[in-house]
Amino acid sequence: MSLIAIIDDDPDIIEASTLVLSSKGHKVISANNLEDGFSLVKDRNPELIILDVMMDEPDDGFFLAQRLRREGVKTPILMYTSVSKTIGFEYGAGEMVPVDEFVEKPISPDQLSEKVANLLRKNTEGK
Amino acid sequence: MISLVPKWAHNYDEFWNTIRRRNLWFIKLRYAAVLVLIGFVFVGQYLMDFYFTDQQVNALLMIALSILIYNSLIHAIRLKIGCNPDSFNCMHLSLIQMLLDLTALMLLVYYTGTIFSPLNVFFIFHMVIGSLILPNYLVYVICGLIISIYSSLIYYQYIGALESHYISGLYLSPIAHNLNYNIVFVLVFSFLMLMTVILANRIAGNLLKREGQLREMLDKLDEQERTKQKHIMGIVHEIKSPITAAESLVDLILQNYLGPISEPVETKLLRVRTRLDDSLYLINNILKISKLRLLNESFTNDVDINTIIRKLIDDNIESANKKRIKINFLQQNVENTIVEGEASLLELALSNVLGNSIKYTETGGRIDIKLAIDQKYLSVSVVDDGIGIPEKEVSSIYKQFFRASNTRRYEAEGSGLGLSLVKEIIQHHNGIINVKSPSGIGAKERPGTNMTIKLPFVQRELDKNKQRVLTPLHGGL
Repeated sequence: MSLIAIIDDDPDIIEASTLVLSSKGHKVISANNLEDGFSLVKDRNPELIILDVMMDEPDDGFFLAQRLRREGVKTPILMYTSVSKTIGFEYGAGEMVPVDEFVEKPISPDQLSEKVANLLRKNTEGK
Repeated sequence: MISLVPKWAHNYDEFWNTIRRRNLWFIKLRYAAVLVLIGFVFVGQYLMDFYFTDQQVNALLMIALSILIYNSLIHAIRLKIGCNPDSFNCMHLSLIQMLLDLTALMLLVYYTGTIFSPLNVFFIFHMVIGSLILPNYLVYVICGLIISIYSSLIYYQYIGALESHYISGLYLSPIAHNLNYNIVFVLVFSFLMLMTVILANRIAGNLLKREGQLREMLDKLDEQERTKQKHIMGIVHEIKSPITAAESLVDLILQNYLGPISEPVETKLLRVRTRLDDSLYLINNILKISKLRLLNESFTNDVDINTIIRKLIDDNIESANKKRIKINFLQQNVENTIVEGEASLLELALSNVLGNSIKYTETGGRIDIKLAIDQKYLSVSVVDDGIGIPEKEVSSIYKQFFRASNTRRYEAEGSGLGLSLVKEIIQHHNGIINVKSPSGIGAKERPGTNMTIKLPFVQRELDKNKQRVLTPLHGGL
């Protein structure tokens, strides 16, 4: 069982993700804006962070990811995106986009479970 | 090296083209001038009773020969020099031509009567040309030089320090004139020269300014189009968010995360999912169009069209089988099926064409996909014996949100966005799209459609830094 933080401004996405991840035995905490999300990660130190790319402003998710990395948070980040491959904006994990994995919306429960499990396993092996 | 080129024109190809075109035009004109000058000497001498002294004939013919020699040299140099604003370029060549021409003209005027030479009006002609080509200050300097040299010649001839070369036969007798005549002539000549330069410079300046404004406006329009596309992308994303959220929730229910569901509920939820998928497909297509318009990029990846077609046939075989449609893939001596482009976009375009074909071909129909080479293009034709397109509507099919009138009774859902997207993608690949109905394999009641897409094997690189070019005006100047 792992503690997972979801930061997304869409309550339905939070609810859907929580349902999927809870069913796999994880404990899910959530925030719906950048500031609360940042405090949530600092206070609760989750094992995985799920971030939406677009919140109030496009790329909000990227900025939060960069801020977290600057502050020394090494927790794996999974990013929700609705603009990736479908329209040819290919994101790649790297310095500019400091996230570990992407999940494209609409969220497929199986894909989400699988990617979360992979990231958590990698993180445990890394330690 | 003195820069004769305004800053804005450094990368403006049309400016350089104009200068090169004008240079060539003057070179041709100068060859004609040589002939006219030789003609003037001989016709004047033998047909019009002009009396040229030997010195005059020699001088005039020498001048004609010099013009011919320097003009030939310029003609040869013109082909070798480029349009680099920092080195010797065609603008410098223009200045040299102008100075050589004015020297030749001054000598001609001197040997044909100076103050009484009928050729002195050509100074005005050169001032107009200079104003069109050279920077203002240079034309004023040249104008000043001509006025001083010409006045000096007149003065020194008046006081007898220089020999005069009148053409007898042009005047009744050697003309006696006093200093006042010379002064009035020089004043009028100077005034005329200056006024010509001022007016011509202003007109040329205004023309350039107008052209600049026009280019600015066109750039602004481009910028506005980009802003509009960004705005559309923003709005479409806003619409996409709730749809993706809804679909995520529907998926959860369908996969029993909230407990078991009854079969009728599952059937309806599956229908909800299909409709949401359709909307997302449409939304993603709109986003793709906006992105294409927003980023003016050229695609240079190798894309194997053969592979794409085979994949698309695999993807669509199930829906074709359901309607008992037979898909034939025909290749006619095609060795190379690789073009330059962007695979995901070309797949989307071809998938739209094939999808349409299956949608509007009736049960038991036939679809031929033909791959062929047509000169520099790889040609893909999707030919069916489906419902076809009414003749009057063929030209409208690429309009956004257009659906042909005979498709409306079909159950098949259609947004009318597909073909406009296909056309946009193909145009971005410098390709050609062509539609024919009847297709040639259909029957009277099912005329069928033939969609042919031609893609160039090699793409032209788009130069992003290139300035917008206005359509050049024709003619020598």
